[in-house]
Amino acid sequence: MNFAKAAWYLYLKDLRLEFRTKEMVNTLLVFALLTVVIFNFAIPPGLVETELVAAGVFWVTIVFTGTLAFNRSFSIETEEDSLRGLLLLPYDSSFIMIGKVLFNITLIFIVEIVVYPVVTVLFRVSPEGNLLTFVLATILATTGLSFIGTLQGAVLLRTRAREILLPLLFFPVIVPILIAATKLTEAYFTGRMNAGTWLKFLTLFDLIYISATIFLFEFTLED
Amino acid sequence: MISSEILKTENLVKKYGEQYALRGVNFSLQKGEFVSILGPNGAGKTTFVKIVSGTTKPTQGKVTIFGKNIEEFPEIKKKIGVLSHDSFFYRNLTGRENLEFYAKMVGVAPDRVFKWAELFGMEKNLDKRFSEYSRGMKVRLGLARVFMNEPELLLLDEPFSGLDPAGVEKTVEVIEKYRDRSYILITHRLDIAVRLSDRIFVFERGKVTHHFERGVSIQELQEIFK
Repeated sequence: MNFAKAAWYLYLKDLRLEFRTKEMVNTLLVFALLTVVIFNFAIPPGLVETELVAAGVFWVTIVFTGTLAFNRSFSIETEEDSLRGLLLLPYDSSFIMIGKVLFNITLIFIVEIVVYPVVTVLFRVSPEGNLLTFVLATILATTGLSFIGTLQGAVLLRTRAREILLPLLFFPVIVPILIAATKLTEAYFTGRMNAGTWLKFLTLFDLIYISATIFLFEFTLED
Repeated sequence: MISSEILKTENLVKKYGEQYALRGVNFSLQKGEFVSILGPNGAGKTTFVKIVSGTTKPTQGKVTIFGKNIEEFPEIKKKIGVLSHDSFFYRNLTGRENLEFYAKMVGVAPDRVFKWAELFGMEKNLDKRFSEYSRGMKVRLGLARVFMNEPELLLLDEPFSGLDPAGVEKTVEVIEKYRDRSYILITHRLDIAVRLSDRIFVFERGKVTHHFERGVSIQELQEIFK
């Protein structure tokens, strides 16, 4: 059996565990929806251009929610030291990274699918731009966030205060993704902006984050 | 018949911060040999197994397993079965799902899982969630996982801990049945170590302090731990 299959089986195992307990999905969705509602109360409609605010609220919510997911996706491997069980398997340890990234991407997509209509309704947004721009932005941003979040989740796995430390490490690093994704979402909501430059920018940072994760991951699991 | 060396460690040192877990362990294991490692808690036995199995890097020294460096050739791990204090299983999966997961991961047909579960008396409990298992059941399921892909080298860290007398006897029977493999057994059960081992090593404070060949008596071993 090859490396890719091992990553795929790990992903399926995480999905099975999640569908059984629904611990993460429920928590992430409640947290995300509460965040959007709080933003909605904090920013009264009419005072500012809601399309611009809505794009920011959407991505800030995704980033906040992501920190919960990235922490939890590795902590389930500590309960019976199953991470060591995975490291005993006859593959390079990066299959764990791929499996976890896939799982985190899935979780974030689920949150995005639920949060998007809520944001558009609460902030009364009628998108006027190209849907493909938004879809591409979402795929690229979610992928970049998931890679770097998975790496940082693994880095902090053996630290006691990982719930506190992850946002401190994660937020500064993902600023370029947050800016680009917000700009692209603005472009979709308002139909006023040329998205090409921001798509290139987002793709570049995705490549940087994916490369960094691939290169650094094996060092994160050292005892 | 003992023929070739499958595991060799040279001057193995492991430090956690300023604390030494291992202080220069030289060890070898021949094909088909059964070696037991005894020693008090904190002697470095588990660290030794973690390094040998490739999940922990030594601070200094070298491990050669099946003639290769396990870090460079992770596929060697397919030939190694490790039982640890922790089960490596997932609490919210059933015993069957847990075994099937590891079976798929090592390329064993999931339908063979039942055979190994049956061998350790777990066939009736396979559909319970792992979180509902007693300590003894967890160990037996762990043993089924370890034996499942019929590894050439088995590293068993306290496999009798939590087992009732019948479970201990059953486990010893299975080990004796698959006695053509190579074993490193970490245990506090001197009687079983004497019964099964070709050689016995005693670890103390990160070093091998005693070494016995087959035929050593339980009384001789007890003298060391007095």
